[in-house]
Amino acid sequence: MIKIEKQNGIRIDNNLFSGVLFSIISLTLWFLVPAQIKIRNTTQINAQTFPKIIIGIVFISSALLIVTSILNREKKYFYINKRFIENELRPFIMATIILIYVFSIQKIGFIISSFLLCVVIVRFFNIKNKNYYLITCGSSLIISFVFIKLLNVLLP
Amino acid sequence: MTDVLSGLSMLFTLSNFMFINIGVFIGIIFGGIPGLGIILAIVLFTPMTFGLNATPAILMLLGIYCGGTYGGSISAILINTPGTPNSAATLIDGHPAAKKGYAQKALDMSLYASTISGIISAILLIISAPQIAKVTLLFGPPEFFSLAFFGLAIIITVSSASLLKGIISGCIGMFIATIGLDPISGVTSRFTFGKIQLMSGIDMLILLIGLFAITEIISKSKLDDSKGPKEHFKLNAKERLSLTELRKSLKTIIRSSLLGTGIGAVPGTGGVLAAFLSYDLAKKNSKNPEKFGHGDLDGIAAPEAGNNGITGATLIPLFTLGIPGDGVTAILLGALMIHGLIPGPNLFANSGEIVFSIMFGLILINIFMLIQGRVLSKFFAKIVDIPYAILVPIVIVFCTAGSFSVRNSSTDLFIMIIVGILAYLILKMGFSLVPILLGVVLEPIAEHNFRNSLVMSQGSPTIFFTRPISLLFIVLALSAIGMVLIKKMKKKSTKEKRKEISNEKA
Repeated sequence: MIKIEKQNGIRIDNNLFSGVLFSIISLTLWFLVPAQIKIRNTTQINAQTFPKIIIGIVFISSALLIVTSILNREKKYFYINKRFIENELRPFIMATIILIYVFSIQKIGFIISSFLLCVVIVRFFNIKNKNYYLITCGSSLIISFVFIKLLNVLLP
Repeated sequence: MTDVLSGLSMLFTLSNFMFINIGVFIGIIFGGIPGLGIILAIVLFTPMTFGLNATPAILMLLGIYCGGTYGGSISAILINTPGTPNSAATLIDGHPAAKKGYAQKALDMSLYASTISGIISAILLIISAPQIAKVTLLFGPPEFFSLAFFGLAIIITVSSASLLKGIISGCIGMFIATIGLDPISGVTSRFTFGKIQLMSGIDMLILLIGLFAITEIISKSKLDDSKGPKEHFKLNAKERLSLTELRKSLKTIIRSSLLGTGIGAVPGTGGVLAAFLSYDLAKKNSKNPEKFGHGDLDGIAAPEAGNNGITGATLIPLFTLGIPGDGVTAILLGALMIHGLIPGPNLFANSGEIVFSIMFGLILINIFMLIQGRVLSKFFAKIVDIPYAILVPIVIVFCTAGSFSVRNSSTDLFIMIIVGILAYLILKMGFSLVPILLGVVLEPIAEHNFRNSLVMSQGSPTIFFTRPISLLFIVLALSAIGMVLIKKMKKKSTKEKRKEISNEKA
């Protein structure tokens, strides 16, 4: 499933990895069912039935994914190497920015956090034009106004 | 008949006209900007419709749907990049036409073809949906369960490259929908891990925003925007489409509209297929097929009529069976449910007048789209210039405010971002997001009717196979899955044969 190659970095078989991951997740959930869905009646069909069927289907599909990926000669790999890290660095930073934004909303409020977010993201895209900052900050102010005044939403 | 008349009287109000126009305007803008798309637009603007009645709210969202489907052609024609996948076939002739200096003519043709086709599709929806709904009133719990199974099977088979990954995606969605209180007992909590915030489950809108908007934003971060606006062709007001030119293409438009409507009525087909098949059909029926690909106006009219033909048609299975035909209608299904309209056989019986006003409203949407397209064409041509550096922060602020507005809860904001990050990782692993959404939407219908059916049959699952309609849906679902497997096996054997031939040659 995972192989370290000198030239390309860490090689991972996509389907095999997905299959193993979801079979572990489904097995964990299966064993969590009795603790997470406590049934009072002992009828044959109860609140546990459908979730168990769903989890069972995920497990069977994951197992089939593992088998087909072992039998299949044409494999789909993805490589964890310098290029992969370079490619995924920006999405990772973006996700972190949004996460910090969501945290900051509770500390400094929606409007100020949104202004900061606009500045950070325009900078993230390497833009120096001041108009971009003005347009995005202005738009976030309009959005806040629409939600607070017109839709009566109590934004933090 | 009373439903039709009261539906019509409900429709003709100033506020409905205003929200239709807002929806169409937003739709054209989001459809016109490559990478934004109709799904993102509907997801972002659904929270804005919370304060509205069901009719203006759904009309606004349908306005986005129709406007977005047309809007995709603007960037296809002007910058050779389709705004939405539906417009991929439009650029074959649209961009060459713009290169020849006929950008305005091409945009006009796209607008007229989209409008005519949208109206034809809406009329067929009005005629056929109530008739189909009458039949579906005979459905009981086993039929509803197999219908949900069929809907899920269709989306899994068309939206995923791998069948197994599609099944897993659908199950992820269904599992998410089970979180919260068990709807039948009403007291048993499921997978809440003791958190009170999870008792009412994960709100569908939060999930939609996380799945589609946040994932899109994270993906967009890879794009480089610092090189300034994209180059595109300017519009020449003197080069508008003449009535004679429109008349010449009318046959193609009507043929493609009917084809698009037929394709759209079948769940799981979609606008891309409708557009390419319409283009192909127009080329085959053309007296000058050699002109196709070089800016022929029929080559623009056909795909645009084809892809807009689905706008009304996809609502046929959605309204009557509760089965969404594609990703956009899956989100519309969610929006309908948020506004208290439960698509399916009882929709016409319970909310007949609202449904009729929405269906007639679809005709109005297309008329307003024509007016906006004519009057604002120069403005819409400029939207392709809007840089991602401006769009991304605005979309994030919108998503956050929208998510918070659902339950005034900060927990929802964290759920939104966590869902977004996990969805991005799942996408990277080759899974599709649409089956997840459909799983979420269909799980309550599937579980409720599954449990009721088994109570009816005293625990025997044969009930699903002994009732003809239920059996029909199960057979249809299994054949859809079977067809995908056969197709894959054929593809594999052709590949192997090719390999063998190339090996022999070597």
